[in-house]
Amino acid sequence: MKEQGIVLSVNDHSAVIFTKTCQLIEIVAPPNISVGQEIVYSKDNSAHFDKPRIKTPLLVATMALAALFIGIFMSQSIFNNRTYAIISVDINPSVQFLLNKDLVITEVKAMNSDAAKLISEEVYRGLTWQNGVDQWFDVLENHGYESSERILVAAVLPNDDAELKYQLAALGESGYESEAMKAQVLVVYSDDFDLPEKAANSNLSIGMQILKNSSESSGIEWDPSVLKNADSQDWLLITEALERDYNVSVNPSRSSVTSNSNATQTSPQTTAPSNSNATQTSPQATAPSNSNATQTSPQATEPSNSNATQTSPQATEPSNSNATQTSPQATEPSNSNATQTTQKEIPSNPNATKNSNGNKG
Amino acid sequence: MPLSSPVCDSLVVEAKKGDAFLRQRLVTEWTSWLHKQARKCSHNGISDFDETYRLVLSAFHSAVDRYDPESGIPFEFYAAQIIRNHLTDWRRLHQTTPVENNQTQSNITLINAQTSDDPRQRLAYGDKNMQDSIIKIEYQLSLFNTSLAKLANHFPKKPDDMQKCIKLAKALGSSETLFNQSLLERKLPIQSLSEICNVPTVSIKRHRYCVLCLAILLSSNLLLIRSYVEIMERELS
Repeated sequence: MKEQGIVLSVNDHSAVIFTKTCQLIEIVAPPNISVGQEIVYSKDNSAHFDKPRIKTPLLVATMALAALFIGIFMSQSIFNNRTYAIISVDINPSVQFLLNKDLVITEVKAMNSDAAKLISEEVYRGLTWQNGVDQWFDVLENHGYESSERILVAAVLPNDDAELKYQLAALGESGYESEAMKAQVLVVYSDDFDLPEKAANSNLSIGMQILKNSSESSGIEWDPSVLKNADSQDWLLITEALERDYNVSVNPSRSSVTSNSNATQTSPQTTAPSNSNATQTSPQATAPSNSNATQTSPQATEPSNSNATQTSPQATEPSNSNATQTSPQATEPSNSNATQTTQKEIPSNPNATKNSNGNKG
Repeated sequence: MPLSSPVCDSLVVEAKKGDAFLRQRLVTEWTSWLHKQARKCSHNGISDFDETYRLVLSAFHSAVDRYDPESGIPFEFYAAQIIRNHLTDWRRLHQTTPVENNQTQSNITLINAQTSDDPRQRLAYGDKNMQDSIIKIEYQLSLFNTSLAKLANHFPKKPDDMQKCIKLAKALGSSETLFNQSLLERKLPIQSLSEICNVPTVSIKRHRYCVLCLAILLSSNLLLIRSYVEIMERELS
């Protein structure tokens, strides 16, 4: 049924019409109407302004889609930003890097006032952990810490992250050496995620907390300056305690030893004797004692000098016979000219690309 | 200076006469208000705030040029309506608002419509005098906290009720005293209307907005509406 009316008001979507039957109605605004104009329209379409009926499902669908996208975005950002691993670097200024799953630094914590001053000079957030550590070493070197001989890098990481373990081991093996600074880097890592909380309660970095635990277990009275001031005998005791309780990688004279019985060691073990005449007596690749452990990656040995006598790079069998050993263990070169049998070599640069599985560069 | 004060309105009148300094001062004093208008409108079809602000400013100057203080409409209300209408026309001209219902379109015929494809035909407020008349209607309704859009689809459907409403509206519109009094007091003189038209106050209260709107429309210069009401009244009687 056709009706006649006068347009009184027009907005983006609708028009208000005064009809010949003295009704004020709202209709969907056609494109070519203007106020004061008389129009004829179909009563069916005009009696009830049907914009809401048209738009409601569309609106609901749009809102649902938007909510979905926002949810995905938020969840991704939450997961990406969730702390996946923690790495601390201790000399005396101590810093702690929180990493996301991509091993990118999401937060930096200065553990003392010296560190607070130094970290403010550079941006660490967004760097890979290796670049962050390298940058931190540079900063230390440029601020009078070049004489430091011991650097402790400690990490708390998920037990199954072979890649990060490999990278940490590589850092321990290569140490830190520049024109002005030459330091032993002691890398310690653990999968004990209660450790950061304990460290925070003690107002220590995770590295210092580990050091404290090991000092105490080796009968040495805890001293926060132990890293710098411990004599060689005490340091030996501490490192032995560390090796007993944690996964440790260190250069130059020590080999990597995995002794944590609860850890599933999936990363390659490395040996890299740097002393050409050194006799490496026990570069052990120790398989995990966890009965269900699966050792998936190859072991690596890197005799740096052909004259080196490598007498016992042993691959220790898992303590439980059910363990599946899927990759070749470190071989036992029979003489100094032995063929390099490792399937993987530790890159001299810890930032270098790994790995046999082609996971990440 | 309060934006809707008489001083401000007189400033607009002076600026309208061609005083560039006063016009600039007006724009300066109204800048935050203009930004507010642009913010209110920018979400709907015009994504760029700067572009919206440019349109708002253009409409504001147009409002200054067209403002008639004798109309009794405060400049703030007038300018806001001009800006709103200007942006509506801009969107229609640039077709930023999608046509939502082709079915509806096909069922609407424009009487005496020209068939040329002139984009200016899309302007809803191309007739400035008509626009001013509508703004005045909207202003008078705003005194009662209502508007044409709010009242749409709320007029009584029963012929008897409509007949009473027309009778009351005509009584209100024909008495200048009563009409001005209701605008001044911002309420319908229900008692007086009840006595004049011999309609129970309850009925008047129930349909007060319809009576008010009809009275305002009948007192406007929209002659077609008067003719519609006359025809309707005859039919009902």
